[in-house]
This record gives sequence, C-alpha cells and structure tokens, in this order.
Amino acid sequence: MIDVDVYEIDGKEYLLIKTIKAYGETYLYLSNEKTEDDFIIRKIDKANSDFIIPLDSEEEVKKAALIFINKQLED
Amino acid sequence: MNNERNYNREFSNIDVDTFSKKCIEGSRSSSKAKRKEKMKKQRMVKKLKALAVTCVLAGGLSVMGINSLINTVQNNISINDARSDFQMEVVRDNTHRTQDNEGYWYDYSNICSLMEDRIENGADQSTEIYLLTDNMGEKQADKVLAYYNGGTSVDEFISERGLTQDRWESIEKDKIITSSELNSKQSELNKMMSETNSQVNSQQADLGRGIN
Repeated sequence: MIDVDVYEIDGKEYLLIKTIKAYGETYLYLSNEKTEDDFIIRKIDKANSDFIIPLDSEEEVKKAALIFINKQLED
Repeated sequence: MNNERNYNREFSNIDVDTFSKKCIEGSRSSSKAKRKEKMKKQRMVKKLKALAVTCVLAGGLSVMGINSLINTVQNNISINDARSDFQMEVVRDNTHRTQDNEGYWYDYSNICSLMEDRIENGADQSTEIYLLTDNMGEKQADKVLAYYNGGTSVDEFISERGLTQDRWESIEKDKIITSSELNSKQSELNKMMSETNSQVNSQQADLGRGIN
C-alpha cells in the first residue's frame, strides 16, 4: 500500500499521481478519486504557492502532457 | 498489434477533449492536501498507465507508440518498486542523523546483515548489490560490502564479471523487470486457481445437497 495525497478541486476529490517540476512550473497530475480514467493537470500558482490553479491554455495542456511522457521515458 | 488493440480497448473511455477542457477550466484551490489515502500499488499502476495514454493523446503523439510507452511505464514502476522495497527493508532503519543534524551515518554492518538475509531468502546477489549501490551511492556501498563475503568493492564485483558499470546496471534492471512480470503472472495464476477451487467446492456442495 502507498500513501497518496488527496486534494479538493472544484468540489471533487482528486488523488495526486505525480508531481513534476519543469520549465519553471510545478505540474500536478491528479486522478478523480472515484473515476479511474478521469484526470486533470493543475500547476502551483507562482504568485502564491498556497494555491494550485488551472493551466493557461490548451497549448499548455499539451506541453504538460508531453512533460509527463518525457519523464516516464527518462526515469 | 494485439497488445495495441487491447490497450485501445482498455482505455477507450479516455476523452481527450474533456480532459483538456478540465485542465484549463475551474477555480484555484488550496495547494495543501486535504488528507492522505492508502492505495494499492496495482491501482496506482493502472492509474499511471491510463494517465500515460491520456497524455499521449493530449500531447498529439501517435497512438502507435502507446504499446512501447506502457511497457516503459510498467518497467519503470517495477524498478522503482524494487528500489523502494530495498530502501524500506534494508537501509531506512539503519540510516541515522549525525549529531550536528547536517548529514547522515549508516550502520553498515546491519545493512549488510539485512541484505544477506534477503539473499539467503532467494534474492539475487548481484541485483541486491545493484540496489544497494543505487540507494547509497558507490562509496557507501563499498563500506557495506566490506562486511560482505571477503570485502569486495562494487567496482571489483562488476569487473570480476567482465562487465562495465552501464552494462551491469542494465542487466540488473532487466532482471528486476522479468522477476516482477513473473510475480505478476504467478499472482494471476494463484487468483485463477483460487477461483477454480471455489467453483469446484461450490459444485461439490451442490452435489452433496442433491445426494441428501
């Protein structure tokens, strides 16, 4: 068994699957607590690290997705 | 190709458009975790695989690469599991803070003894030395090996086998992956046998009731 952090985002609970720091951002890859294939990516707010915020654009989603793949391949 | 089709079927619920929208919509929330939850490793592996497939699709990569990506994810998970198990079982309790709190010292003799126990219980000697080196670094691993089997250093251990460090590491990683695959197949087999046994028991009970 492993310990996983649970975050509340927009009223739903998400499990933290992976955290990756890249290109000056800290991306959080989260999975819906109840639905196995429901994921979201968030990032730490650089202006206030007490908060996590949505990504800026679809381009950034693509970038964060590729960062995850790259990390999986290089680990 | 069969595996490719299986993955496509297994992850057919993934909707990349919805995923992208959810990543850019919504409000900010606290970066502090609400709580911790225990999760089975198998569930985490399944989630990582599904997340990898989602990211391949969201990243606009070819689905033809999914099979090899999934294998890489699975292999990395197996290696990380072996590293983590070794750390927990052998090194963790024998790692102590120095008095000035700025560094660590290790109980080399105890680490060696726990590693020997694992080897006596069937762990591969070379893989154990690889995990030890990976966990503590070569310099510290040499100090542990000073207590082990005549005091061979990591370098000597590798060169006695006619290998380079890279080749040795690669062989040990392959062994961990193979062993993990075998364990996974064994547990599938055990599950199947247990299901078959309960079916047989249930049929025998039905027969017994019929006779009475």
